[in-house]
Amino acid sequence: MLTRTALLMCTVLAILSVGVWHYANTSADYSYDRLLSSASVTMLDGINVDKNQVHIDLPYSAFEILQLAPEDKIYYGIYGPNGHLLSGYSDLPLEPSMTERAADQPRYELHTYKGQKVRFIVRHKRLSERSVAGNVTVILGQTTIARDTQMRDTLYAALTTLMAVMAIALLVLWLAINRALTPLSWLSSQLVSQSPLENGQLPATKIMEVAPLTQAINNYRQQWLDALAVMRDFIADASHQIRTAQATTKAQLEIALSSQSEKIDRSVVEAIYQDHTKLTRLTNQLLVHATIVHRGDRQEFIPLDIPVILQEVITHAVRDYAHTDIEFEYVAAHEKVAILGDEIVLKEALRNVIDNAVAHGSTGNAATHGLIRISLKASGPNCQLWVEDNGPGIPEEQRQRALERFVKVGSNTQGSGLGLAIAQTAAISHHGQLMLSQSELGGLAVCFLLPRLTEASNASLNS
Amino acid sequence: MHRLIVSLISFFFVANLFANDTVLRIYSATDISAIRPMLHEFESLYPDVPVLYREFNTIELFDELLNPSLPAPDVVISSAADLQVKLVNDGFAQPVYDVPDVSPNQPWAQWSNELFGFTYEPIVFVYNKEAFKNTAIPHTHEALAEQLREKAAFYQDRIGTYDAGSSGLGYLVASQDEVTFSLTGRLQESLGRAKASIHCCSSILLTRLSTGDLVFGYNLLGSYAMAKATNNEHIGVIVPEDYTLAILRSAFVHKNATRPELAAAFIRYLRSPAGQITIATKTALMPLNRQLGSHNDPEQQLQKSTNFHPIRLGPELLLYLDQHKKAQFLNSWSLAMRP
Repeated sequence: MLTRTALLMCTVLAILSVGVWHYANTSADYSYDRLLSSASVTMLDGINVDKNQVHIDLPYSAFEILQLAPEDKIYYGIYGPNGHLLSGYSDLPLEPSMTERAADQPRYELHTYKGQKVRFIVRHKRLSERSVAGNVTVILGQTTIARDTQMRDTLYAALTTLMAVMAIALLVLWLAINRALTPLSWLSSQLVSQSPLENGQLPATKIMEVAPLTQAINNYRQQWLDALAVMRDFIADASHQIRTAQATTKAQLEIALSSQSEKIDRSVVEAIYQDHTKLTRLTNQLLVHATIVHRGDRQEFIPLDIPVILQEVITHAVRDYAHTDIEFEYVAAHEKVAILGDEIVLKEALRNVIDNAVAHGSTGNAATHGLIRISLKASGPNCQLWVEDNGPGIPEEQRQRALERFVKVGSNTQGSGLGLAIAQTAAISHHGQLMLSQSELGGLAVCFLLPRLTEASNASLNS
Repeated sequence: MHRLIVSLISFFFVANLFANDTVLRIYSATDISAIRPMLHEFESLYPDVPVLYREFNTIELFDELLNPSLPAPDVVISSAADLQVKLVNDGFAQPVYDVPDVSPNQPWAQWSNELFGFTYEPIVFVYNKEAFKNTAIPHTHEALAEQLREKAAFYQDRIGTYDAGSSGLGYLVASQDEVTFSLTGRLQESLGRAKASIHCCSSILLTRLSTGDLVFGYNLLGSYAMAKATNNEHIGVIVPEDYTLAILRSAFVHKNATRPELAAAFIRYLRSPAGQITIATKTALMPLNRQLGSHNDPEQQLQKSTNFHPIRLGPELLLYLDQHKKAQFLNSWSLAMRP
C-alpha cells in the first residue's frame, strides 16, 4: 500500500519537476529579458537624427542596466534604415529583419556566439525625419550566466520544497494508515488468541469505530454457539435413544440365545421384531428430522398445490395401512389452495402426523374403528391442514411438551417421540405453526397453519 | 616602441627563449621598472620558468592582441580597464579559478572569473611645489575649475594632462570623468582655454612638472606620480577631495596561452597577500588592498580620502568604446581642449 503510494508520489514528483523546470526557465527568461528589454530601449533613446544623419550617442545607463547580471558579457549591433551596420559587432549571428515594424513586440532569440549561449533581443525604432526615414534596429545580446544561475536556483529551491512536501505527505499517510489499521490489528489479534468455540465475548474497546464490529462479531458468535448447543443436545439425545433401542434389541437377542430350549419362543422373536421396528423407525425419523432441518435452513421453496400433495400423501397412507381397519376421511377445501414450500418436507411432516394418528388413534378402543380425518380449509391469508383422530388424544397440559423432541406423552410407548417435533419444525420452516387441540372425533387434532400463496406474492415471486 | 625585457635571472637562456615554450609570456602596459620586483618574486616561486616580459602602451597592446604579430601571450596586463573588458568580452580570455579575494566587498575588482584587478591606483593632481609657493593649491575639481578661470594667466600653457586620443588610459580617465562628474565639460573648456598640453605618457608629464616646465598636471596616474614625488622634491601629489577615480590594473590569461596553468598561477600570485605586499612595499604601483598603503605614500593620502570611485571592471565600460560614442567624445574633447 505504502510502496504503491510512494511510487505514485514519485510519478507525481517527476511530472511536477518537469513543470517546475519549465517554470524556472520561464521565470528566469522573464526576469533577464526585462533587463535586455530596458537596456535596448535605453540604447534606442540615444539614436536620433542629427544633421540629416543617424546620430548615435548611447547613454551610459544602457549598459549599466545590464550590470545587474554582473558576470555576463554583452554584444550589440546598431543597424540603420537600410540594414547597414552603424555600430557594434559586425558578426552577430542574427540580422535585423526589414519586414518587421517598429510597433512590433521585440523579438528574443537564443544563439551560440563566440562559443557561448547568448540571448538576443531585436528592437526597432522608427525614425521619421525628412532626411532619414525608416527603422533603426538595435540587436543586443547578453550571455546567460546569471539567467542560468537563477534558473538553477529556482529549480533547486522548488524541487527541494516539493520533495519535502512529498516526504511529509508520505509520512503523514504512513502514520494515518497505521493508525487507521490499528483497531483491525487489535481485533485480529484478539480473534486469533481466542478459540471460536469458547463462550467468551471480545473485550470492550475504546476505539469507537470498532465497537459495532466487535458487537457484530460477538452476536454472530453467540448465535453460532447457540446453534451448536442445540446440535449437541440433539446428538446427545439421538445417541441416547438409539443406544437404548439397540441395548433393548441386544438384550432380547441374548435372552433368546440363552434359552435352554432348542426352539425359540415365538413371543421372544415377536419382541425382537417390535424393538427392531422401533429402532428402524427411530433411525428413519432422525434422518427425516435432519433432512427437514437442513432443507428448512436452505429455504428453496416453490409454489405447491396443497390438494395434490394431500392426495398423494393420503394415497400412500391408505396403501400403507390397508392391512389395518383404519378409515381415512378427506375433507377438501372449497377453493384452490397453494402455498410456497418444500414438497418433500411437507410430505414428510404430514406422513409423520398421519403415522402418529394411526399409531395412537385407535389404541385400546377395539369397539370402534380407527378414524382419521384429513381436512383442508382456506381462511383468509392462511390455510389450515387438519389431521384428526378418534383416539384418546393428549391432555391439554401435556400438548406443549408433546411437541418437544423425544418426549412421549400418555400411553405412547411405541413412538420415537419425534413425529410431532418433525411436524412442528416443518411448519415453522414454512413460516407457519403447528397447533394441537381436542378433536371433534374425540382424539388429537393436529393443525398446520400455513401462509397461503396469494396472487400478489405469486406475482412478486415470478418477477 | 616595443621594448623587450627578459628578466635578469633568465639572462643565460635568452638565446633559447624564443624557441622554448616553457617561458611565461607577459604582454603588459606597465613600466617594467614598476613591476620588476613582482616578476622577481614570482620567479623565485617558480624557478624553472623564465618570464618573458614585453612592454607596450595600452593601445599598442590592444592592437597587438586584435591583430597579432607576435606569439600569443600567456598573461595580458593593462591599466586601460575598458580595453581589457573589451578583450575579455570578445573572448580573448579564459577563466581562472581559485583566484583569492584581496579583501571582501570588492566585486568590482574582477569580472566573470576572467579579468582580475590587482592594483588600486588613484587619478591625482600633480603640482610643481615651487610654482605654488604663494598660490593656494586646488584640492577639488571644482576649485581647479575656479582657479583656471580666475588665475588664467598663472595656468596659461603650464598645465598638462593625458591625451585621450592616443592614450588608452587617458581616454578611460577622461570618459569616466564625464560619467562621474557633471562639471567635466566646463573643466575641459577651462583646460582648453589655458592651452593645456597633452601627452601620451605619465613619464613625460612628470618630467616636465619636476622641471617647472609645467606647474600643474591634471588627471595623472597616482602610482607613477607618487613614486616620482618620493624621489623628487619638486613635485607634490594631491588626491582630490571631492572625488577620486581609481583605476584597477587588471590581468587575464589569454585564451591561446601556451602555459595557462602557469599564467593562472601568476594571476593568483598578483592577488595573493605576498603579491599585494610586494606591490605595496617594493613597486611604484599601489595594491588593491588599500589597507596595505604604499611605500610611496608617506602622507597616507590613499587611506584618507573616502571619495574614491574605483572604475569597476564590467561590461558598461564597453559603452565608451562604441565607435560613435568614442568619435563623439573625442570630438567634443578635442573641441574643448583645442578651441
